[in-house]
Amino acid sequence: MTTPSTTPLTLPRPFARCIAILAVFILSSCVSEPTESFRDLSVTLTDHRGQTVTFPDDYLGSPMIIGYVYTNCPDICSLITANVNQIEGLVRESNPDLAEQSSTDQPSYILMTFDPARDTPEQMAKYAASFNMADEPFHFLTGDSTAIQTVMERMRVRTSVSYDTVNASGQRVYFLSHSDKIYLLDEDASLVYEYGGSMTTPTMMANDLSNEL
Amino acid sequence: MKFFTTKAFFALFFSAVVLLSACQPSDSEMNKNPKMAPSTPEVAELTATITDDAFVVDGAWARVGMQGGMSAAYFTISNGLDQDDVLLGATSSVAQATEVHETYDAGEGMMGMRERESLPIAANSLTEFRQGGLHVMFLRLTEELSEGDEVQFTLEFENAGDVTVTAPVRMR
Ligand SMILES: [Cu+2]
Repeated sequence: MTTPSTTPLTLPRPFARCIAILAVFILSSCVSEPTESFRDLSVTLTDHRGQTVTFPDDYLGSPMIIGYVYTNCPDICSLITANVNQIEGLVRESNPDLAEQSSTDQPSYILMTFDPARDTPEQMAKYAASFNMADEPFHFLTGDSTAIQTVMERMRVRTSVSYDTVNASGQRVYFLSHSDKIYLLDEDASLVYEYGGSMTTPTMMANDLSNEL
Repeated sequence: MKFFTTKAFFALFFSAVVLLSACQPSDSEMNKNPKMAPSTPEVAELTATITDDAFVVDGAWARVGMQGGMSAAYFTISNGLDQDDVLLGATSSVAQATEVHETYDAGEGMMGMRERESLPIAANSLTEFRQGGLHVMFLRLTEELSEGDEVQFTLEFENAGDVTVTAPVRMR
């Protein structure tokens, strides 16, 4: 073999090894995990217009904002819903050319319930209307409990029953402790960002969504 | 030997640069670092100040809600008196039940909600009822609350007595 001192282009062993180790280290840090995709979920749900939909299939092709709520929750969930509403307004304002594109090219703004027992499509419709969000591009999704459970598990949205009482008129009243999340998915239903749903400023989420357009 | 070491150094350096530039920030990395907020919700700056020798409930508003559904009211209690007080409860005619609630961190990334009976209101203090925290909760609204409506509710204090509040209805 040549000696290092006479062939400047050949690296001495310790350096070569060092570079190899460095390469492995750097590469492993950036190819660690594939992007989390929800594309294969293909779950059948119902929107607040009473339409049967397949999630996420029917919404592919443009980015999605998804908030997780239940309608019997006036504080945190209302805040999440109001945030999604505000994101839509901000994105529309800052992307005036969106208006000229077909509805399939518009981002989808989805509110999905994790309380399907109470949140029927009719209930979701009333809830949407009370926030002036009954029309496109808003979609309030519910479904049978198995379908919802499948989605929530995959999306890591957790719930547990708290505050369970029977009121004076004999009706069961219960609240849920729940994850506080809004997701931004890209046009292929891969997760771009996961936000604290009630705590994140709509401006920040709207900017992130605009960057996906 | 000096020459050689310098060369090796540059080789190492450029290798690192090339490798790093190939490593674009991937979505999966971003997922692990979700953009989390400043820790408080985006709410209007607190403008209320304590008025000396006065007990005031200010800045009230209530959330839109559907008939049979839920709503919540937010406001600031300014106790400028030198006497502690206690909020014992709330009543209204817009819902089957009206309760004092708070949203709390239920652990493991979950938020929960619970009733607050007997909420202490310290002397010379401001108590903020705000989104994601304390709220007066309307359970099973007897009518729809839409933007532009107004709701009335009464807060019952141990010392200040009944304070009736009028709140405009808003989406946020
Ligand atoms: Cu509550």
